[in-house]
Amino acid sequence: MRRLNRKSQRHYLSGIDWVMTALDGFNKKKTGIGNHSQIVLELAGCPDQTSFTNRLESVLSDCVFYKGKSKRAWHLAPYWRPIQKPFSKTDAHVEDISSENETELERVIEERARTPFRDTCTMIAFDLIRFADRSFILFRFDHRLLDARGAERLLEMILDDTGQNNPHPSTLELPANDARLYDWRNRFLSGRTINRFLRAVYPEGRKAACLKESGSAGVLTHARVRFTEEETRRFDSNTLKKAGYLMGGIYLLSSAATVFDAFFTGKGTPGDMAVPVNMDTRGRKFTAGRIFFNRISFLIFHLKHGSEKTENIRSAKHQFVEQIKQKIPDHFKNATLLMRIAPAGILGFFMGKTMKRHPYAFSFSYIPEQAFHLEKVFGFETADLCHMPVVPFEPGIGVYFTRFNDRLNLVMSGYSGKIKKEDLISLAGAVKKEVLYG
Amino acid sequence: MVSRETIREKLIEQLSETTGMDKGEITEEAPFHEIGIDSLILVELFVFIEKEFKVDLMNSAISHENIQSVATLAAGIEETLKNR
Repeated sequence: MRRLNRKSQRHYLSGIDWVMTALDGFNKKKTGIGNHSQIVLELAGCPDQTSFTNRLESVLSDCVFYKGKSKRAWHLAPYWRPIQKPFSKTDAHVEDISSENETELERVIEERARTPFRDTCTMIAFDLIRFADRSFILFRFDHRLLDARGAERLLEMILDDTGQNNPHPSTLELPANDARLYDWRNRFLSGRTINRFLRAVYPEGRKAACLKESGSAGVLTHARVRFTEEETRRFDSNTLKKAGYLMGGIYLLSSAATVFDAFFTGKGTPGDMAVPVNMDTRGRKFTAGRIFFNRISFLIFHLKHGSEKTENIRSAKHQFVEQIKQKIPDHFKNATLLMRIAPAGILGFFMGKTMKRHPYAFSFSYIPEQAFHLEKVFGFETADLCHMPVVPFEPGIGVYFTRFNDRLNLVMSGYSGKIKKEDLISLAGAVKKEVLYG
Repeated sequence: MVSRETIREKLIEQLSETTGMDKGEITEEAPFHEIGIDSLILVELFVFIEKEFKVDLMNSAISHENIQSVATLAAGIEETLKNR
């Protein structure tokens, strides 16, 4: 067994990692579910249970990422402490759905997406759902350790039994990262820039159009909508015509905003919208050392109530360029390092206070390029992949697009106490329609 | 007047810096998406172009077709500079 976490090899958490940890605590307190997500990988065939669990056991029995927790050093900077435990087969659940009803399949996948981990130290869990002649590998991962693209890449390594293109997962190390207890002046300047930026981007009074306050979170629900290859080509063509080359994210955000504006108006809570958007900051440098922890930052878009889609596109593109010009994603990364001074619970408390003022309308992300490239898993073709994140309790509704093998997927996530499942399904359908024909 | 060749070289240099790719890997004629350029890198390139050549791509006559590869983009920038 390898010796873990020597002091010189510690991974000190970034500010974004610490915000994710605080968000995890905040969400657990409100909903019982932490800040996790689920990848749904569809296979055109059904692997047997033994191959599945044996593979997991062989690659996860001596790895550094199965369990772990954050600790704080004497100088208060938080770091990650891996906990080495043999993989438990109870973290690999296998289920056969005897019914041929797709609704039952969706119910099971959704049920697993909202299942908390076995304990607070477990970072990943797997399910194999077999349905007729297809199967679904569900990979739940904790955002304290992995972001969406990092999780896709890790899943590829775990499932790659050829060993030709990937290192064996048990050889992966968590990257060492220093505590970054220097350059405070720049961190404070970034903090000032972010404060000014937030004041400018939030709707007046910091109150965005949003779902109404509700006493209880209810149950986390999802709505999944797929696009065919032809529909995805139509989306590409619309993007090029209406938003420009490589502006798929802007086009999708503007389409979603147009639908949400009408939805909030219909619900009697109209107003301008602020939308936080995650963005991967790895660029092309996606090495094994960049799998773990959060390599993301944020952009926030302000979209005006009553705007046509063309106006939303123009405005979002302008804001995109301006925020990159002002280096807002870099400032977010830099400024959040200051937040590590506060324990996660206290940071979560202050985040909760800010969130109570409802500054955001909905969460949004688009992963245009997959990090999972295996064409076959257990000998069966990979047919589809999408992400089903747990949306933070505030804003309580999220729109998540993934592109896999030239097909777009849309997943919407919300809480039944804030939005009815029927509304979520109808919103997802309306967003798809707007993307294709709006 | 900046030549098209100089514009191409500067664009490749900038892309190499932001993506970590070798300059040789950035083929001039290849569409950006085929060499792994995403929207974020593209917008960073827009910001560089505005700073370096004083061309605001968002508000210029450069069409979508011009923003597809190093070669087409360099041609578009040269054209804009000529028409000033």
